[in-house]
Amino acid sequence: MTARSAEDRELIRRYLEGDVSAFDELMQAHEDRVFAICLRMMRDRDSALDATQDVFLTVFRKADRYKEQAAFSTWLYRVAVNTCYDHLRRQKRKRTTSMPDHLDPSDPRSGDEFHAVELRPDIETALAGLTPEFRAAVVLVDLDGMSLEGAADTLEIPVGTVKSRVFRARKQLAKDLGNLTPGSEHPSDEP
Amino acid sequence: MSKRNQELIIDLLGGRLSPDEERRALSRIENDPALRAEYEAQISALSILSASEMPLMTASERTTLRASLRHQLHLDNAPVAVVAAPSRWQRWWAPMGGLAVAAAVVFGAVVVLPGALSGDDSIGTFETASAPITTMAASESLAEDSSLMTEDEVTGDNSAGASAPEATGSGSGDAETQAAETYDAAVVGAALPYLTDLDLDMLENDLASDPDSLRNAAPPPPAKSAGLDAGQVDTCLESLRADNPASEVSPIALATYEDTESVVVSVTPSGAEAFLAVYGVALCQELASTEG
Repeated sequence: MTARSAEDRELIRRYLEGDVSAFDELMQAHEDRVFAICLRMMRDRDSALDATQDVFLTVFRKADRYKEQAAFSTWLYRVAVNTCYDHLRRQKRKRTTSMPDHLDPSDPRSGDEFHAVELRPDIETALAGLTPEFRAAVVLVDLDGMSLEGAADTLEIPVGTVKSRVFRARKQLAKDLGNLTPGSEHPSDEP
Repeated sequence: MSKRNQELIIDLLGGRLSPDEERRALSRIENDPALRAEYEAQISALSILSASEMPLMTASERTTLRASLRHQLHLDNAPVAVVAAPSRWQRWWAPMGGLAVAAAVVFGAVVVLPGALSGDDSIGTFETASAPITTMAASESLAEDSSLMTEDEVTGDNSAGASAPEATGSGSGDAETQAAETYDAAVVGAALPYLTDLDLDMLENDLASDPDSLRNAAPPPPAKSAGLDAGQVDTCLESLRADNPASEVSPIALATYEDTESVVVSVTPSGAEAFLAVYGVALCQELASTEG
């Protein structure tokens, strides 16, 4: 058990006993990382803030159901990803999503799309082109620095599936960012 | 690209191979142009991703988030308006308070909806129904007993109350006539509107902004003629109430949710905020909830 994990368990215990300061300590420890996951998943700041709020509401309201066999952070990030999935589905159904980021004008300093990518490798824009499942995998592993096993626990999928999603997500990102060499595409080999 | 090669590249880049395995992998990649191209693409994406900085909340966003959470979790007594300025991502029910929402939702379900479906007689239908009528008692206590709410909660958002009398006043038309003719007044479930395409969060938002919205969204024919067993609905409601004695459980609508015939209920735990939940009627299992 890591020091952070042990500390989280103690904070949860204190929170459940009515210690309000435990709330602030848990927020301080995790709010930025949860927000970062939500922003990269949702791509829109207001939506990310809304999702972040829902994540913590869920976690604090269900804190008594937290099972200590798993790290608190694993549970928290699982709630975060699932909340983002829910919000994305809702957005899709409402059809009120804002204009996709990839329609943003290119960097005015550049002469063409390729150089715009070179000058401004807009990761958030490229992430927008991924499905939520692929985006979640690459956000957790490559952007959040989570281990493959940690991501598998968080997403509740096998490690092999995480590897596959990360691989395909990176390939798509490289392509979207203009860094995939022409000979490297083998669509027929895709599973 | 085979799954084996995908895993090879992922493991190689993740430092998960032994020195021998790494040497063999690099040799394979060196001698296979297609594999090398895939490997380079992975490195390219990874190098860009690893250079990305973690986005952070602004101080203002952080303060608002915590204040809003504290308020909704009842961790302090300060009104949200004092501790943080409202923002558009603050949930609609935060300033209203749970009881006000419960009142609006239950009022919409019990008073407005039956009126919409069957005209003035519908309220009488609930009063004479054979099924347990805790719904009516709940709505009366919540909607009429303003002592349960603070003054702010009562007056903070009067849109629900303002629209309700108008809604009950309009109760005619072909659709409503058809509904009145087909539903069985002996059961609560059959008197509810039926939603063919339920989005629980949208429903929650719609009811918050306009308690009358469900009436417009619920098309005839009502549940009974849509093939849903109203008796099962009542049984499920009774079961839910028995399992949650400290909560008010009030039916809002019937729906097909993920291909499962379901009942949508408003749940108001004692001393907590109301939320919506969907239960499959056959097994009375929870399918979704706005609780979190």
